[in-house]
Amino acid sequence: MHLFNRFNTKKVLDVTTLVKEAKSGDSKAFGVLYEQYAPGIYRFTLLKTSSREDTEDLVHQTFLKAWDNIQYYEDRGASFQAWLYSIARNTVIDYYRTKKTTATLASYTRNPFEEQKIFEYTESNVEFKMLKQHIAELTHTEQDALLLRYVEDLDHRTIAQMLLKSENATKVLIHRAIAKLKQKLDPR
Amino acid sequence: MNDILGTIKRLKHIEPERAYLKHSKKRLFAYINPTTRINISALTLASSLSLCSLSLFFIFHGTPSTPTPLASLDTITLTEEFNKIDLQSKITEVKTRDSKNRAIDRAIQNLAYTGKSSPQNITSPEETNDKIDQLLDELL
Repeated sequence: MHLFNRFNTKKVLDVTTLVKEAKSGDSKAFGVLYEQYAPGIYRFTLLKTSSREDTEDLVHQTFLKAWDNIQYYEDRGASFQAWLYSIARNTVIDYYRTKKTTATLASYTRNPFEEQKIFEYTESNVEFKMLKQHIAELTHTEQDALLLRYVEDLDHRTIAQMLLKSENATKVLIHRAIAKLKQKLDPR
Repeated sequence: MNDILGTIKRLKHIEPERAYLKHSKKRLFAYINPTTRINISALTLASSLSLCSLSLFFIFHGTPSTPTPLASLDTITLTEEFNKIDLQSKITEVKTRDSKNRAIDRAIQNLAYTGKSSPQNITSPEETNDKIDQLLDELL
């Protein structure tokens, strides 16, 4: 994947090069990676937590952890993007452990602004509310697999590495999650 | 099935605001940017050097003399200082400063209560003044 470097419009850098430069302490390179992946990490975190404020803090924590540990990152088959999502996922898990809250996807649209914004992209409020309620009823692993596959567009292999499962097991997990949703939305 | 997937995929359109991303990046870089770290380190170093210089100045030139704050006096010292005050002399001073009229009032009241005499028995102003003078001599 090639990324457009905002700091130098004539230069086009690939992720591998940017990661290499970031590992050597180049914060500008890390900034380019941030601009590329922050929206996805934000979306994934928002769908897993309950409020925009918490999401913003968690995204911040995720990238700080990434910067602090980037020297240990090695491309062993898993992409840098998958590595970032893994950090985000663990950060969210820590968040729930610390907060001991039961807030889930079902309650993440407490903020009216966010709710209105999300509804713009759905056919109807009723449909979206039902969907988020049913997704929240899935297990955390099923939620992660589903969101990473169909919202973040990660491939099965990458998701399998993140969830510490085989590729086939991941496919089955996602298939079952969709079947559960279908059953809940259309019980006929 | 496709309808469900279509609805889930629409969640892709959730994106943070540009203003948030810009602010968030600045916040992140405040932590990670080496320039910021150097600036903070330099500031800390400068503060430390200033404190060292100030300490050395006081070591070689002595600390400025300042009055002993009241808080540093312990209870014993305060008691000793209190005992040094001659209470009797202070009382005498106060008595001396009393107005003549207040002393007269007290003298008249004293006469009435002790039974030696009474204001009713005083017939003339001269006699009153004599009695008062006598009593004042006794009192003062």
